[in-house]
Amino acid sequence: MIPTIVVFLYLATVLYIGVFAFRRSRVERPAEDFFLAGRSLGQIVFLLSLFGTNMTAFAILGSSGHAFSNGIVTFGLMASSSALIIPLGMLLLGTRVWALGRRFGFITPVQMFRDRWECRHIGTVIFAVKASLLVPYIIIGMIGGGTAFAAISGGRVPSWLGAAIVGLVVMSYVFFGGMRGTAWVNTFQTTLFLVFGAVALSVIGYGMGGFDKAIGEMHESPLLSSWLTREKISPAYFFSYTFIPLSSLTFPHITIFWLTARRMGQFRKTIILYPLCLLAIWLPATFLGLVANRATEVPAIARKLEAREALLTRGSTLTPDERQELRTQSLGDDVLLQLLQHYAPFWLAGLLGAGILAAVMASDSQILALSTMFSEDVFAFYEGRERFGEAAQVLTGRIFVVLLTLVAYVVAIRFPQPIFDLAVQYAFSGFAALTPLMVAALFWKGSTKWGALASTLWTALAVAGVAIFQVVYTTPQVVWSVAGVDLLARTPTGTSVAGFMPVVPMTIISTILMLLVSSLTPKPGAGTISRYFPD
Amino acid sequence: MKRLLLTVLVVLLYLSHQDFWHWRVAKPIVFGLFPIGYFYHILFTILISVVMWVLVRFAWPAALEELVDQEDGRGGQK
Repeated sequence: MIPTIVVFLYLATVLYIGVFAFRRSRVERPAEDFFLAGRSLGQIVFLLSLFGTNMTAFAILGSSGHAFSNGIVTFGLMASSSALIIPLGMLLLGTRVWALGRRFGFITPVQMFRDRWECRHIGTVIFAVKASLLVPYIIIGMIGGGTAFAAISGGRVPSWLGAAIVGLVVMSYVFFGGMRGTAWVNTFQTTLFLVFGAVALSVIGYGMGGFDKAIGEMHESPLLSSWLTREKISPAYFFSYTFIPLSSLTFPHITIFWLTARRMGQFRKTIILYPLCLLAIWLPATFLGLVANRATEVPAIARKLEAREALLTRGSTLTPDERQELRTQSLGDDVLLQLLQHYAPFWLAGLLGAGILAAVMASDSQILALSTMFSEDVFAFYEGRERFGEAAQVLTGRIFVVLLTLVAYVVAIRFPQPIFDLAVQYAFSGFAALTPLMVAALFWKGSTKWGALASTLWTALAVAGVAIFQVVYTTPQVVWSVAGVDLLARTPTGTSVAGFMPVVPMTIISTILMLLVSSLTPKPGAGTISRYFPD
Repeated sequence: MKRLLLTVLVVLLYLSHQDFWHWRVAKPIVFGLFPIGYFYHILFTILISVVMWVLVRFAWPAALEELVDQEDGRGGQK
């Protein structure tokens, strides 16, 4: 009961922050103020909030669950690759996007693309594809919120109700506070999680009798010793995964957030400190997921381990449905919460649970980004602002926040799927494949709107293709093999293309299309080129 | 020359992320907690922060920053 009360207190606090931000909003230039906090965020809020925006249910619960199932590979796979790609992208792309936003008044990436490539409806196509890809990410936040709430409350709050409460709170502070409220809440949440990550590690380590004991036992165990190496995942898959963090450079909520910095200099410390912040959160999350394999005294985790063992020892004698059921039972998305429940004192479990919920609630930025894009790229672009005024545009954005949250909630409770799979297979891969658009717009004078359209349509088709493929082929099997090389295969967690994740061919083909189609089609006018490349 | 050196540094950093040489070994287990493949990537993440400092120091788009400051001074080009 106490953890549940602590979590409710936490939710009340973030709600208050959102309302307080509403009171700080300015009446002049209301759209820029609501959607970009008036381009006025300071250094600390910019760093912590940008980092918090990337810390989602996927990052925390998904990563500990992945480490529980796959071992130490998770950290190199997701954390250290992101620690390299994201700050590097901020240096190369983020600073340039910020400067263009400042010079030409852009609020969304689609506005930049429309201006850069002198296009109208192609921009709308890019908007539609980006919006479609962002929705699953928002749904992940909802599912994560429900899962976290149910676990923290010991089942008193069912996951559908937990998702509803989290959704309502997020919707409220985004609705009132806009970007300023979202950034402040994210800063508070990130601080909370940075502090509590270390506390959780200490408390659980003490409860388990020391992590060195758990690691030693895993090393001696014939079944678990492979969790301390990376042999469960191939080097090709590991390499593939370095493409996934590219998505963090094209996610609308990240690109839009870049525009909120008061000065370009605020990127400096953010770029340098980002890898260390990432280490501070992902190290506890993945390490706890790993050692959870020895937490057999936690009943829920013991049941997961039993299901995994049954799958390994009797898997070949079971039906596909039975195997799938065992696979679902053995998933570890909630192991972090189960460890807290078991080892932390009640009051601390509540605080730590609130910290986890903080990370899970990162869907606020995505909801705001989609609302920003709709009101700028559709409502304002198709003359809604001219006809009804800027205040009506902000109101439209707020109504969109409500509608989007409701739709995401309904989908989240109807289609519960493992957080990790859903995120990676659709949203992340799709956004990674859109990276060539951003790079070409900023660095290549010869890029054209037709090249951008080709890359965008390819990305949409490829994401749909992977989704359809996985619906048609539900069990692991090789679908297409040439000369002994498995070119296309269904794996237990997704799709494999010549041993790589689909994101690799998706991004490479998207790049080729941008290059090829742009080189064959007319370039934007000299005036536009000179504005974007003044030297 | 500076740009070339920094590019090589980033490429080497990316390549060193693919540490296939630790793939199937757990030992040594550093501090009794971190198998070598894990510890390597913890150190790698700290090294990235150092390299980012170098890039910010030597590859910062200062001209762009000055352009924005100049235009802000003139009231912007919006």
